[in-house]
Amino acid sequence: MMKLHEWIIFSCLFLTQGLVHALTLNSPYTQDEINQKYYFSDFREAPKHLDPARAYSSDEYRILGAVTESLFGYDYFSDVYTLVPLAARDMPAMMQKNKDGFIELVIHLRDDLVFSPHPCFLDENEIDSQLSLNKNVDSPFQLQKGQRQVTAYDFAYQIKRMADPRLHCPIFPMVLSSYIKGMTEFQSELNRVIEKGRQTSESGQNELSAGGHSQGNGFMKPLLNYHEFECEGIQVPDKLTLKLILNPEGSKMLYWMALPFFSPVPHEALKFYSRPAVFSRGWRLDRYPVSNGPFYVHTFSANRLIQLNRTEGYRKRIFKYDNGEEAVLPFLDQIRFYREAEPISRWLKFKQGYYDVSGISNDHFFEVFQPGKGHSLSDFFVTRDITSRRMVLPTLMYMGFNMLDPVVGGRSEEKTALRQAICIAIDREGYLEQFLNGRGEVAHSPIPPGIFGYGLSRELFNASVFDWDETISAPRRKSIDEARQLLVKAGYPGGVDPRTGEGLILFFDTLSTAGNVAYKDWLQKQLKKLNIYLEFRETDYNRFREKMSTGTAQLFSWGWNADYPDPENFLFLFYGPNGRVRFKGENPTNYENKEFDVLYKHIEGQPNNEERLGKIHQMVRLLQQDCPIDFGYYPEAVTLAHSWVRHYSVHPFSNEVYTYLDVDINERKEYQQRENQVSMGPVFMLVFMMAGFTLLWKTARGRGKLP
Amino acid sequence: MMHYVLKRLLLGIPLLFGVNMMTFLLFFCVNSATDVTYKILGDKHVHPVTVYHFKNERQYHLPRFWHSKNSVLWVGPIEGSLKTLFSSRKHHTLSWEDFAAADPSVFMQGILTQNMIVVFNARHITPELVEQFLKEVLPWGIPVIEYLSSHATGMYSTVVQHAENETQLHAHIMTLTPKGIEKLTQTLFFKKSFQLLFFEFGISDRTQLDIGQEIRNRAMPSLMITLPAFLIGLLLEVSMALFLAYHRGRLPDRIGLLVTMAMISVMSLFYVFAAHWVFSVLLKWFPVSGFNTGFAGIKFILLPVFVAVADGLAGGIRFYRTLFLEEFEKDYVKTAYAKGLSSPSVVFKHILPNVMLPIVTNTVVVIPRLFMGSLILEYFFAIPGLGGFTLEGILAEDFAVVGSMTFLGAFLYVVGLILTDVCYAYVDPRVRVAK
Repeated sequence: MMKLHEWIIFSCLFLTQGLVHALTLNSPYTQDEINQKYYFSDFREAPKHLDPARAYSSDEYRILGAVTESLFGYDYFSDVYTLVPLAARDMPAMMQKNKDGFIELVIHLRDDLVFSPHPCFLDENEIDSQLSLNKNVDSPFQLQKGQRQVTAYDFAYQIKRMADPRLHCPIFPMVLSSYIKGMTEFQSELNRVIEKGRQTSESGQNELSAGGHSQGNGFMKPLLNYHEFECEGIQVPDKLTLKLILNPEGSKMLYWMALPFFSPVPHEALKFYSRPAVFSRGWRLDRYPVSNGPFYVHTFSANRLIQLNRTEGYRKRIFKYDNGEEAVLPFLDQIRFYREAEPISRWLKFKQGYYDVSGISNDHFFEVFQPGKGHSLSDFFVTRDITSRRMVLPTLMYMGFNMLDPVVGGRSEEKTALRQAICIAIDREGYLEQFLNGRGEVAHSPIPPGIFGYGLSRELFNASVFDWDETISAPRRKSIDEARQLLVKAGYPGGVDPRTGEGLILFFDTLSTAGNVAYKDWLQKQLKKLNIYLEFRETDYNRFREKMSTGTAQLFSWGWNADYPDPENFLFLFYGPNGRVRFKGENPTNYENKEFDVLYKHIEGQPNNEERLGKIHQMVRLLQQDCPIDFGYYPEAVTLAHSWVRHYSVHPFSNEVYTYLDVDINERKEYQQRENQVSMGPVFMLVFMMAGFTLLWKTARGRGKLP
Repeated sequence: MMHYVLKRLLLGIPLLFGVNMMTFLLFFCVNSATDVTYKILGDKHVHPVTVYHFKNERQYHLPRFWHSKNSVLWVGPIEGSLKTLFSSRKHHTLSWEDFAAADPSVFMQGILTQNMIVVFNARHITPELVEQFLKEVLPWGIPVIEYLSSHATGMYSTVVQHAENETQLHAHIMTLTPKGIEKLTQTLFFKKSFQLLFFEFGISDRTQLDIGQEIRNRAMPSLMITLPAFLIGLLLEVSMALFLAYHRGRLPDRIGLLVTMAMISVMSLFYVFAAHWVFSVLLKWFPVSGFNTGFAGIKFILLPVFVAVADGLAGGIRFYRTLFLEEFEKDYVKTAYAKGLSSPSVVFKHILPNVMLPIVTNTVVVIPRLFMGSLILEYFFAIPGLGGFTLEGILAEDFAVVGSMTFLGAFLYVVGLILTDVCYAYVDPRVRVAK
């Protein structure tokens, strides 16, 4: 017989069962959020900088790409990496070279660009009253806002701003100072003014005790108005025209101008953020940038949420559907990035429908793709209409030889033979299958797909390591016997070092991370084929860096992401004067070949034509002969997207994903409700178990066995 | 009483100082600040100038404990009597030929690892070379002194100091050298570690957030989990322990022993994963992770609180059970029973107040530490609290964060100990009588 209170418990359970079905208890969002055109994504670590003059990493660009609109961009829907105008009206006409080699670049701006609404555009008194009225708001965007048009002066202002030594613009030393005429002198002038200002403001204090730059807390004194300083290479003939004079080596400038560095920053914003009343609230340009993109940063809470809102008054951009219908860009009203520390949480939420797009980590690969069936998605994802996007990235991952090393380095015939033998032995095809589930392409040259100079044909394949197999008309790795013969040529017959009479031992310098034991095992096995023993010298990241820059490493793994889609950006990794040890450059193998260096000078800054292509292939061939690296592979990015996400694609250079992304909120809501039905079964089980236990207890007690 | 508390407070100071010293040694004597900077700045296009400025901004260029002299880089021919001027300090000489040979790496490495003043001997040198030299040196923003210039490089007049003779040169160098107390204050230890004692936390190396502000923001989410978990846990532990002690030796006690032992044997990480798997993934009762403020945040904290309670429960029960058992055996309890008092009145009126004493000692220590949150729980459930903050700091090798949090932890522990002593005196009449 059920007693009254037991009835109550049961009916409560049934009631809640009905209730939770409608609610999806585990939704991390409120009902309000779900019913809006919001895009949900995550971040692992808050971006350090959102100031377009300082940001330079992919997590920063993810946000900044939506917030800024640089002069140029890449066609988001095209696989060919071509530049298109964004804030500029058109691609600048042919760069006219002056007699002395300087390049003149005239850029016409669109006339419909506006800054996102921001309180800095109000007049001084209004800002004061706004600040005193709203003491407890979290973001400057909660104040009353003004807005104004973007002019060429704002672009010029930003370019000049990047020369401010206190900002440490990451591309200044390598790019700006050498590309734009008069930029170095311009920086010296700023330096002098800053120094003067510092001396007057901190009179009496010596410079060292002031800690050099007082910018540590983000407060720059003195505040400079960069309009007041002239730079020879930056001119503004009229409101909508920007004229740059570039040094002869500045021909790659247009690519750099597709990065958020070249987006406008209003001088009003700097003035606003330097107000003590603003500064004390923790509002910085580095958190809440003011720019001309389709979105602006509305909330920046580094430990929970970064929220971007659609810019009111953003220039009218029309998106044409295939069926001829038109829509206004951007589609989304808000983009919400939630902080997610654990990758597993992100993955689960994606499957539950709470994140719209997700990458795939190795742990989940076989959950997503059916083993042995190529790359078809598993049933779980197929039935849920989740689709994958694949894309070989313009990235090179490789194993390098330190060319300064006495054992594996140097360009003599023996040393080259040794490297060649090792390259043959390292079976990259196997590596890709075993470790990356085929997500990558074996590289035959340092130039990845999509970039000028890439090609895999009978003429271009890496003949040091592969043979051309006519039957499949594809390259096939040379046999291990050939590698053994090369080893004889190298002076290590049978892998034995004649000086010691024992097997050759090579050292692989790597990081001591616990995760890659399998990889180390694999690598050791590859060299074992040649009877070479591979020993791992594991250190932390700092020591590893040190070894690389002092040239004491022997073998190492390294990678390179393209900055811009030009072969130069990969070939310069082998340019002698870029040597890591001697010049602290980006050539980690310290490869040096006069012939290569001469050719590099020839292709540098040249337009893509047959002549350049020929020289590039010549350079690639030199590298293939010398084997300073094993070329490794180009990784492939695989991402998953839910069916309600529209226009999503992986573009390695375009920063405009969020301009084009669209979501169908009803479809998403349905999915979330379907996938997140609360399971109450175990509660019933628990109740039954407890009931049983009490019954048992009571009977046992009745028999007098228990008190 | 005041006297006693004061004494305990003063004793806390050397303890905190020691804690600071240990973290400092671990961070700055094992790795050099330059290495850490490279790690924070990343790999691509990191110019040594950027590294230098980064270090300078965060004052990582300072010497560790004692800042007596800056080293001098002397560029150009060094003349007889000048050698005596530099004999007392570390100096490097670089000939013009070396410099003009365009191998700046020696020079860059030197600047990166030491506090350097550059003196260049401009005599006998062409203006072009001087230009080239300045172009290389000025972006660093390090002090540059031009010695015996034969031609004025007027353009740089405000950046470069001039010295016409040895006395002037000496004076210039002396103004750049710390004097008196500055030798102690212009050091890494003073700036990075000592100032923590005054709760000057500074700015995170990696994220550039104000750590003090961050601690204030993050304390609340941490407390939202630790405080309910602490209260519920304490209540459950004490009542369960009392129940088991009351039934000591009989079936409930034996079942209790079995269950609690099993619970203790399971590592705490397992509770996190298991509860997460069962309640979030399988049953879908709670969000996988996340946080929200106010009423909407309740669903996020239920599961972490549950895990925190479950994790500490068994250990607490065992501990309090022993306390109760000991008390149950005492003579006054037997007397009370013999006098015919009912069980509830013996347990609640006589035993419980007496057991309160060790319970108080055990729990008050913990209370201040509740602010620190819990490391793994917060990290795993993406709760923006102080525990997650500490763990991220450790993973990112962010000294500013780890140093601050270690100090805060030590400080709160000291506060907890003092509070315990005060409470002890308050609860136990004997302590007061003895005084």
